[in-house]
Amino acid sequence: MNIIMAAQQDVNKPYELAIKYAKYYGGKVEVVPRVPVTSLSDFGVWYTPGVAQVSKDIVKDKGLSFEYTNRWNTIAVLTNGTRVLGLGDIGPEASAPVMEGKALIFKYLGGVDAFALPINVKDREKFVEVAKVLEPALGGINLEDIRQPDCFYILERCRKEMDIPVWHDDQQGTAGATVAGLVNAFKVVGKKISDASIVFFGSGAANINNARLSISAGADPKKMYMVDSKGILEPERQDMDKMAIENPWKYEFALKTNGDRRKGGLPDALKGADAVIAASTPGPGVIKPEWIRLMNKDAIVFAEANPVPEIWPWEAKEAGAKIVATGRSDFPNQVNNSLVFPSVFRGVLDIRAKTITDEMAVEASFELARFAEETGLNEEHIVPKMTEWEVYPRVAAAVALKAMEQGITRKKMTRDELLHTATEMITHARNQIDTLMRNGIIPPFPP
Amino acid sequence: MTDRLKVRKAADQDLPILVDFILRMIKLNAEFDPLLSVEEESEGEVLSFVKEGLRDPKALFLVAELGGSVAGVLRAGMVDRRFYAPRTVGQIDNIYVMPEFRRKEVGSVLLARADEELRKRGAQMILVEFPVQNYIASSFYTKEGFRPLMGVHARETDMRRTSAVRLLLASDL
Repeated sequence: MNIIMAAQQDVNKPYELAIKYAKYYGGKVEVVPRVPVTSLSDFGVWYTPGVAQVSKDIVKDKGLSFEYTNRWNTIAVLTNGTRVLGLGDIGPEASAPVMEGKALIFKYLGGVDAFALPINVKDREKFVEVAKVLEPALGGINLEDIRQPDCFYILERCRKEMDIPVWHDDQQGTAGATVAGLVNAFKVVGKKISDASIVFFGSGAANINNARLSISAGADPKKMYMVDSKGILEPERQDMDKMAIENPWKYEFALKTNGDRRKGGLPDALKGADAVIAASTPGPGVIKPEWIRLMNKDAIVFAEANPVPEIWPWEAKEAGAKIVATGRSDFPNQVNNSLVFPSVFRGVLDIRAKTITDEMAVEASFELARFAEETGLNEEHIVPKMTEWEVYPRVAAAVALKAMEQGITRKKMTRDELLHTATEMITHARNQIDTLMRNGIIPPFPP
Repeated sequence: MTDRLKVRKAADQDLPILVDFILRMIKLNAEFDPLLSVEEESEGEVLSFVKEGLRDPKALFLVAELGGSVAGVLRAGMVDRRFYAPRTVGQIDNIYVMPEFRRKEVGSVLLARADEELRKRGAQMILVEFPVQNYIASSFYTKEGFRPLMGVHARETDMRRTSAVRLLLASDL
């Protein structure tokens, strides 16, 4: 880990190391048994003939597959590689290292057994079919790096038609962290989210869900403005019909936001705005300081593009921003989906939830926000840091409790039990990795 | 919502909005098939079309207003089907409802009023034409009791096909 942190000092170093380590380790995750294997005779229990009795019981009650097999802790990181990081449509094979990386984070921060599953399916109908046929093997699915608007369609259908939680991290994970930060940022500047004018710059998967979750968290859509490459969305824009056909999710925002019918570009939207959430193209210089000056007093600026935010934090601050958040770990207020997805899945797997509702996603945000508040809010601390380990079980328990309240779980547990289980699972995963490293089973980084 | 909806015949002062709405309609059609592409000069054509329509006593231009704004427009006319009965029928050329007024029955109300007006002019049936792939229009008109009647099939002209036919003709000789 120290080597990786040191590598971040040098921009090119991570790329060199990633190739070197990929060759050396041959991938990032592998299957490790959960049960003792003392001799081959144990397989008479783990496999045939003994296992037949386990199967017979599951035939009578399919729900037992969540208790008698590792299904309860298994998810797929499912992608077709059509929109990977900033790389675009690189295909399933090339997306695999990214998915493996995600699986590793799932294990390390959430104790979740996640399998990278890049599939050769571009057609969205077929993608949904593939997700559905995988259901019996899985406790959940994390959709990843799928182009929009297919990602909206696939998530919507899977959520509706499947009985396990399906989550699209590019939409919901980022939004979970963003809304947590936004809620706390408004507390710091002493404004109410329901009264605030919020601009969403960029209309991709991340920002459409940032906006959607902000509404669930209390923001007023009439005071929201979404800006894409053609300007502010509004119901009379000439491309509305095209949008209705190609991206009905974005179209809905064009209809319900922008109460005062503003036209124009980002500067027009920013006039008098209390917050801007940018998830557009890497900066710097994408948002100009003079545009920040058009915003209301104590402006909140979230510049989430990676690796370089749309505007540098110091530029935004000099232009009058009170709070700035980015996606980077080397600046204060890192809005990071890794705070969200491992915990959300930990929670839904522990409680055997059947889906992840918007209310559960908002609850994850609120719990993140509460956690940061408990440890002291200020302009440079609106979201928890990734190294605050207690945050993961807290969010897991909050999400699971909300699922129970909504009656969509296969199990019932108390908050204490949930906190205990989540802490144990995450600690177990980290101890396991630590033990494997100490014993040389995971070899040290090559020189 | 429908009680606040007003439908009236279009007047000369509606010209800009009629042009805007009809242009939006034909651009929407263009989204469904490249053979319905809209050219730059279409705007001028639409302007002439609307002007002529407003002067033509046989044409019907209706405007729906909701909350003081124009929510939708309808353009229809009469057609003489020389060989078929009923012979005198109405034809809806365009219905366009602005996005924010959709799902508020504006299209249905415009259509009902057009039905009434076209009946007065002797129409015993109403035809409507829209791109086959326009699933929004298809679902709307099906809900309104329309059913497919005639199909328009299209292909681009093809020199190879013409040559093949020439060869065939030559060999016949």
